[in-house]
Amino acid sequence: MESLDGTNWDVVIAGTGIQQSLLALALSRSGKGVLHVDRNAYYGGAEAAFSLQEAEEWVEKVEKQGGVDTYFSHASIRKNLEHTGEKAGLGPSRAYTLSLSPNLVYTRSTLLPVLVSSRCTANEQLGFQAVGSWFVYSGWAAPGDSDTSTTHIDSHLLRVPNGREDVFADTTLDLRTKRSLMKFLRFVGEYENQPEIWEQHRKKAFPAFLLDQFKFPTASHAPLLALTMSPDPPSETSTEFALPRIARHLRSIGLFGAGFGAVIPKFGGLAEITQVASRASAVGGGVNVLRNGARGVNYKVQQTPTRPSEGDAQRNLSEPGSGDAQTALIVQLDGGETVYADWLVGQDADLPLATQKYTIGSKPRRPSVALKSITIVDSPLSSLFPRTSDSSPQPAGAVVVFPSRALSSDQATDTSPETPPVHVVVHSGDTGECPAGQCVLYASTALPASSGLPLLDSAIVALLVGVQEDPKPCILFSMQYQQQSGDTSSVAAAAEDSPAAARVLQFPSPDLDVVLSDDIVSNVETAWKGIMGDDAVDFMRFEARDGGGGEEDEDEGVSYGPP
Amino acid sequence: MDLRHEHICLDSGVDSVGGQVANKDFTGETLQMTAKLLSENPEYYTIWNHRRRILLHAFDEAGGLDKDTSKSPNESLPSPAALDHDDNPAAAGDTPHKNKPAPPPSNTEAQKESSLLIQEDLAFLLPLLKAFPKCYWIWNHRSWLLSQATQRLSASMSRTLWSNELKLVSKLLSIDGRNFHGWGYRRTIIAALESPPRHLNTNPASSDGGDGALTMLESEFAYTTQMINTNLSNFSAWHSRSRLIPSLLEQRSASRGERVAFLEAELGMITNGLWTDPFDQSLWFYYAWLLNNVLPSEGGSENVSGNSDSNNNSSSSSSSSEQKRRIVPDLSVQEATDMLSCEIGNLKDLLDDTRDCKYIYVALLTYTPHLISLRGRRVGESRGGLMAEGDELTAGREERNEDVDDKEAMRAWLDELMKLDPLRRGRWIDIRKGLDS
Repeated sequence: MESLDGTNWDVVIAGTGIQQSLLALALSRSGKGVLHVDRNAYYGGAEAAFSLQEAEEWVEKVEKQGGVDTYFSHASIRKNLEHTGEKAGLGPSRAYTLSLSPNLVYTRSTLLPVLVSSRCTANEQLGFQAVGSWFVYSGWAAPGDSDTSTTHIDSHLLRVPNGREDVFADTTLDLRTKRSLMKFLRFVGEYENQPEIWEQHRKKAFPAFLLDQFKFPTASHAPLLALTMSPDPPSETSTEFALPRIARHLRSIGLFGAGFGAVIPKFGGLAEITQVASRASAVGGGVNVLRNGARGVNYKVQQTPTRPSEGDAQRNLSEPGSGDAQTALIVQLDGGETVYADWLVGQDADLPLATQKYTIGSKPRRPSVALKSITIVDSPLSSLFPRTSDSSPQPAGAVVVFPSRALSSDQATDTSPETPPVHVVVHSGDTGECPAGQCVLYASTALPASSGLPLLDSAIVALLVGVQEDPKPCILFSMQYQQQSGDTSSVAAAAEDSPAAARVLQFPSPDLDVVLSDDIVSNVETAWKGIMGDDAVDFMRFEARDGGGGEEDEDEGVSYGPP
Repeated sequence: MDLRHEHICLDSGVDSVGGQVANKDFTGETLQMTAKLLSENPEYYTIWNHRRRILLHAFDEAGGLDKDTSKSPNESLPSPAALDHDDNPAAAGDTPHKNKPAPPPSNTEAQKESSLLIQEDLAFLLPLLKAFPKCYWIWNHRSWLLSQATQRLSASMSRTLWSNELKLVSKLLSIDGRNFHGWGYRRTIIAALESPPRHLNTNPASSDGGDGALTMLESEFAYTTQMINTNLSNFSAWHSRSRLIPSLLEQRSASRGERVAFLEAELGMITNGLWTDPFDQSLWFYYAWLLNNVLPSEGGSENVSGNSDSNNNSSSSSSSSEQKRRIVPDLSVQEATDMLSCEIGNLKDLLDDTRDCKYIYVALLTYTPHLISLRGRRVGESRGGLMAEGDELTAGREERNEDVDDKEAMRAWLDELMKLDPLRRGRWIDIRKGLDS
């Protein structure tokens, strides 16, 4: 393979996270020369997925880096080496695909249509599976014999009603609460058209809004709060945050099939999408290089070395009045090579030494830090995956929400600290992420490692009690890490006003929201528009590559259902 | 093929079929032509008629009905008059089970042949039914085919076909739970599977339909529950439920206590529904049917169901069969008053919570007068029909106060309805006049 040293590119993309990979995909038909590098030996960056062996290696690396140039820290693994019992223990390393990005994707999201129109879903390259039910944990914890143990009493998981018929069938709600809930559901389905009811209360805490405007008793707030998937405790979840989230949840149900409104990508979350996107980029002429990151970047206005002649017409000098002057970025790679590019794009952890950049998407991110865990258990947890109706697909995902204070042992009083909720997304073996008969539990809470870890551990234990299975499911493997959503680089970079001025574009760091944000797609589109300039048409709209594709593929949507 | 050309082809197809049938040219080719025409336009019932004539001819060719019977062949077929009338589609399911000769129990050649013809036609219908699930004539033809099966095939063959039909209709109803054709057809199937006639009963010795009849009611009742849980707004499911309940209670040999409990359970369930979604009209229909089981039937005397007291022979014979269909045939005036009073209290509670749903007001306006009248009757009854003067003054006054309050409330509800449903002003004004008079 030829050396990269001295090569010229239109775009160098640093890091193969979801945003960078989607950008590479977006550029894959543009004829632009794209070099896509990643300092890791794997695709996916902060959204990668690992076998057990790879997970262990990653944890080691994270600990060694000590939080430098990375969003991750405080990583560790615990394996249950004394697992006994009738059920199978931990399988071989490759039987598992553990995702750093087990995000939920609502059917009403911008990502799915983009994946379809860019042909990523054609030929079964990508599969999506239904997330069927949301559960709220109910029960209370009594302090156990020792300091570290608690006993979970009366633990059970209550299914969140998804609509009218669920409310009708629910035996735990009294009639007045049902009426209030239905009134609220009716309202939230069209809340944009009824500003008089909520506008003036938008900053108010959501529980207060429910109580005041809908006479909804506090004891029944948990299911609605669960649907918001808010990372904050109830008193810090505003009405203007909650309403669109619940509306999106309800409007997503039934869009792609009966009984579900959210999906998860098969085989390890967003990682699979980064692979498909990178592959598409390569097919379009892009070059993917792993184990080589962008170490530094310099800016010089200079006569660049000879460029490939076919590039001239397509080159995109959007700087006004540039005339004959050619601006180029000089990018140093980890391996020592020097390459030249018109554009450099990455997240801040991939651009550690950039001194001028244009930041895409500058909203403040919440939460700013989260503790996450990945747990493998030896049970299929079937009670979490009921088919919601005869015509709905077998779900492969389920959500269990532990409301604030649900895991506290002095739950009786309201004086105990209002901890953030814990969100657990459960993946069955149908996702291909673990053997059949086992499950992967992805938990997260908006706390740093010190306070978050006991909470997550407690949640997993409570969940395994709450499913009320006999014998109780066992934990085979557990991994946890802290992730931050802010910038990591220590170099203060000058912020530029426009992409064209900076030539270095920075995507936001990974979002810690369990629900995938539509910002991902809009960020990619912003970068793409900056790069394409006047040629920016038909974002992510591609024809089938082979001639035969044609009209049938037009409608080929996402494939769902059992493996 | 442009539209006009296609139109001409179809027209000539129709003409040629008509001509062939008139000439008694019942060949396979004609049959195929009808298939082609009907696939284009299943609403063309005349062609269905032609198809049936062709099939009948084919049945006869195959061997027809057992010639051992003394009946002439024509008697067992739909009357020729029905067939000749091009305006009338052959009535389906009309062929009465009585007066039909029982087919022989074994599978003769004729039966095998007929069975094949029927199954082929059923297969032909299937994609049409999926494409046009609300076309009367397709359902009609299907019923006709099944009734032909009942007449011509052995009991076990036709039972298999009917059972398959049940599976099919369940599948179609799972796709569209509110297709009333499906529900009606389902009732036909259940009736056929339950029916006592010997030719559907595989055990000729049993004369009461055997165990098959018993299990269908329970399972059908459970089916309506399942469909309602899938979609509350299923008028057909609620209707089916109301049709099944009287027979179900009878089959269960439900005691009076069990019947009262059943009624209360149904009222509880519908209340759950009404509180969940009072804007769903199908719930109110079922609610009205339930309350009709509480209210006195027309021409009632001393007790709600119209049963006469020992000396009073005002009960008419027609009401006795209606009584049998009531959930609690001998509900007393006291019980009825208590139940209705409870329901009205519940409706008022619901109104407190939801002020903009017109159905609640309408229900209150409908049933409050009944409550007033029941209260009057109850007092009259407890006094044994005779009232002392003093009693009359005090008792009458209590009643009148209660009634006055109720009438005041009714006026307030009518005011609300004027705003919520201004298109029916006339009706609200009429009711008001009735109040004020």
